[in-house]
Amino acid sequence: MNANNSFWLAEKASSLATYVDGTFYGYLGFSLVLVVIISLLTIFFVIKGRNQAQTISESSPCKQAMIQTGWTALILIVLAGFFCYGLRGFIKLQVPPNTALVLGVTATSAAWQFHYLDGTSPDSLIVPVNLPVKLEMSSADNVHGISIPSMRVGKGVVPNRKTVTWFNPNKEGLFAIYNTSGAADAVLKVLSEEDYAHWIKVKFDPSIGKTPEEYGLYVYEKQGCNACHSVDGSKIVGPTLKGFFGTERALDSAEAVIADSAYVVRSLLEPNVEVAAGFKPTMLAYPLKAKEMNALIAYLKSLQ
Amino acid sequence: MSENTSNYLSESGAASWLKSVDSKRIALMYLVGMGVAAVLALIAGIGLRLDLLTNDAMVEGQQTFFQALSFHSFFMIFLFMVPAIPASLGNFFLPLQLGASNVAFPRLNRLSFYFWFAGLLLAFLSMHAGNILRWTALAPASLTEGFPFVMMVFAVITLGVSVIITGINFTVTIQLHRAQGLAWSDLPLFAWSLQAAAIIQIFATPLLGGAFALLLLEKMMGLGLFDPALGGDALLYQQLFWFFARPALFMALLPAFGIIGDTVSVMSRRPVFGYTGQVVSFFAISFLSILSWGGHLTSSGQSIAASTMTSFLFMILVAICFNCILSWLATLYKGSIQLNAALVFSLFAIIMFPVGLLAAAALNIMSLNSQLSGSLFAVGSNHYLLGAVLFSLLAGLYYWWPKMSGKQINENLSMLAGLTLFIGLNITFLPQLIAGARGLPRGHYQVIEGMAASQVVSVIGGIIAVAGLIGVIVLFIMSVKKGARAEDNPWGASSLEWKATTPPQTENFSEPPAMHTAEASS
Amino acid sequence: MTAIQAAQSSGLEPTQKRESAMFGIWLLIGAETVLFGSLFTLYTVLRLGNMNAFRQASRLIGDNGAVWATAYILLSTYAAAMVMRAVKKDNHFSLVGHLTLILIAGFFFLGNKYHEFSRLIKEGLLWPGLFSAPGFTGQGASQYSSIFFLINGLLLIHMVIGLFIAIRLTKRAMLYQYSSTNDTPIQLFARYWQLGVLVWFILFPLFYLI
Repeated sequence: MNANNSFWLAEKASSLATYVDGTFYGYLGFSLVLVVIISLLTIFFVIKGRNQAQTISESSPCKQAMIQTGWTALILIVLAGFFCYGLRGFIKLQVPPNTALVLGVTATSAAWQFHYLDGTSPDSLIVPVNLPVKLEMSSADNVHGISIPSMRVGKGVVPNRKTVTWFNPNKEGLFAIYNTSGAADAVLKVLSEEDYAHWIKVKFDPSIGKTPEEYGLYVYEKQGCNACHSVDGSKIVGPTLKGFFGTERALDSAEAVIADSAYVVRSLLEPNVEVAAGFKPTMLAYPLKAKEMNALIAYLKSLQ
Repeated sequence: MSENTSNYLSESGAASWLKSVDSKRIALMYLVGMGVAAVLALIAGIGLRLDLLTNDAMVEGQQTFFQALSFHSFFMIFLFMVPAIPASLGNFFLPLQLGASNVAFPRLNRLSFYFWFAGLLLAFLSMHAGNILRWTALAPASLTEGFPFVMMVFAVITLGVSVIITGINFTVTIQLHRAQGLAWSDLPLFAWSLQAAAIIQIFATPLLGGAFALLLLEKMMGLGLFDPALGGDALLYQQLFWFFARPALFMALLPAFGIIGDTVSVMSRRPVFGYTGQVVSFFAISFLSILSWGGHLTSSGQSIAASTMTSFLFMILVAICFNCILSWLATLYKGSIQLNAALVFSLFAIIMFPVGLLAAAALNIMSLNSQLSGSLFAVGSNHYLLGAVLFSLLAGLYYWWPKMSGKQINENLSMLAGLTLFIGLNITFLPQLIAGARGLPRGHYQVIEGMAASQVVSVIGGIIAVAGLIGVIVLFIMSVKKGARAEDNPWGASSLEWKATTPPQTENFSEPPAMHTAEASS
Repeated sequence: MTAIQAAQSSGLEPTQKRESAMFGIWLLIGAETVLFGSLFTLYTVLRLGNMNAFRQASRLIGDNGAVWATAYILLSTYAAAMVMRAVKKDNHFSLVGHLTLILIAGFFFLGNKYHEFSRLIKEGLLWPGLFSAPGFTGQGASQYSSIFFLINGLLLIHMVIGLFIAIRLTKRAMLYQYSSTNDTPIQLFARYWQLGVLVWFILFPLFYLI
């Protein structure tokens, strides 16, 4: 483990630690002092009074009750102080900032799943450094609990309920995520901003490992083109895309145009300017990224 | 005090024990039965630590681990901790301390023991069939279990009934069966602590039975209360469960407080310091423990308001517990100490209680709760408290042993065995607190890097503790076999049980015992 | 030894035994109250989560049968009060008569519940595992049924146990076994019975009226 490990508490890698650690160490100090005083006094009184007949005048019950009230109140005041500090910290731990990166978490007995905008990462939670992360958690089977000691995060993960927790990692590295129900654990990886951006891009970029045609098919299906444009020659809402590319198309305005790459791009951006003859101008605009456009065109070319 | 007087042990034969309605005999049966349950649970506990050390991450290994964990937690909590001191020493000495001949409902008392024994058998069946649910049986995980779960539910319900009967019996005995002339202020702290514990026994235990019965119905019929698949809420079960489980801890703690308060006073030849204050504290602890269950759910998604209120009540509870502890210190202060096993065991309890209580309070400091509640820290806290209860039980046993058995025991060797046990338990439990604070999760089978050292230390401590405990048991057996005859009142105590013959006769007193106050004036 | 025992028991026992038993039954009632109380708390929690579904379901479940059940319960509580009085005054006929009245009212109550339950089973107004009543979406109505059957079921178990005890007591009362000096079983039973009555009077408005 790391060099800057303390004996108590896990490595500090989250800005939230300020709400926890001070209270913890303060309370630890108080506890140690109290336990040591009680132990030493007990042993001292016993050794001192051993086998000797001491006489002591008993104080009145009333005075004894007052002494008892006194020390009970004293201990309660100290405990209440720590409690208030703890409550303040707890409330901070409950309220994630608006700027937080929101991720979904699903717990099962077998594995953790972390949901990003574009997909799911099983068993490893990967986040950028210095950006607050808000976890919206739910369980798919039993009652679980998430614990990330270095982030000072601990929260129940319950079926049918959404529980929320957050942290703000300020150190890059690998950290443990425990399931407090005893089920499978996971890993938290805190990356630099660039590494995170790169990871997101690689992890969830659907074009990776695909030919342009395959990626085009992916875009065709993901954008929902298949709802109106078939690829088998049948006519749905719009004209079929089979054998479409490169041919001359008759338009509503009685003109004709060659269905080349430029036409495809124009149709996606301003679909109702050049409408195919015999169809209503109902298509919405699809401002796709250049990469997606190119893949789609490659795919259309393959539909001869 | 002639040798020929018959006493409660005179009759022999298994039937004479099983049919007996004498609370002293029932107490001894409880004591032996709980001893066996606790030793089995201890073996399971050490077994699971060893299992962690030899971890090979195989599925069968995991099954064994969770079975051992379930066995350890269920037996230790439901069969040992929950009946613990009231069922054993309470049954024996409460009627004696009150100058009564028996508890109020002797036959119900026997029934209570039978229920406990049935619970033991059912629990054994459940564990034998491969129970992996631990003592909490959290829904909805428990709903998918079959036979072991059903047996477990019945075990818990029978044990619950046994506890309720004991509570009712003790309350009626204390309120209505005091000898004439025995004023409230003459009652030893132990009797008061049993009364305070009985409140929890009567009013919190029904919820335990209820919660487990609902779990069974949920499984059998699909009530849709706890099962998320049917629209239920898994937290609801936890609320019901902890409403019992939080006070259950104090049900075990209170009689321990009573024993230590009395032993410390007798062994330092001083009256109890702040008698009234301690008695009031007992009842305050009893009520507050029933109200502070929500502190267990701070990190599970319950409302902040509920967590804040219940956690703060727990803080008050801890402060009040410290009132008792500091009062024991004040009793020892300038006392004329008789150093013997009973006092030494009390001292160990006095040292372990603050650790456990402060750790429990740490879990109710809400920002720390999220950090600690799912970790071994919570386990360590409970073990410290229960270790202290064990020491109190043994302290009480040493204190009353001359009266119970009529025999003396080797005090010096007992103190040595006690010291071994104390060192062993601390070596076992302290690493739990430290590793827990560093984040080691509880009930975890997977090996966690950097935490192995604490596991090794815990195992070594466990073995030392067992050696100490075996020493204690052997010494008691040796005392029974060939201990010298004990005096009627070796410690110079003033409470009524010491005025009975040694060992007491079946009906405790042949004539109403002379009162403490009468003696003082004569 | 037996002589001592006899001396002791003759000294304290009868009144002390009686007082102990009375106090014991109050503690038992206390424990039972916690049990029923937890179920009513559960009802409140569920109801707060499903206001509309609960109101709807209670319309469906409630009918005139519940009013009749209340009448039987009222009759039995009157009889239980009279039983306590009769045994105090050594009025043998009143004692046996009112015990019989409790039995009659109790069995009518059981019959009433049998009809109600079989109607609900027929209509499928059951707990989520078996819920099949048409016209309901969401889980509120079925949870209503869960808690309805739970509280009613627990009450019925108590009633059945109570009736068994009542049969025993009636038999013994007919044989002149109870008198004003030996009335503990009767007094205990009457108190225990009133606990069941109390539960019904909380249950009735919660499930049938609101």
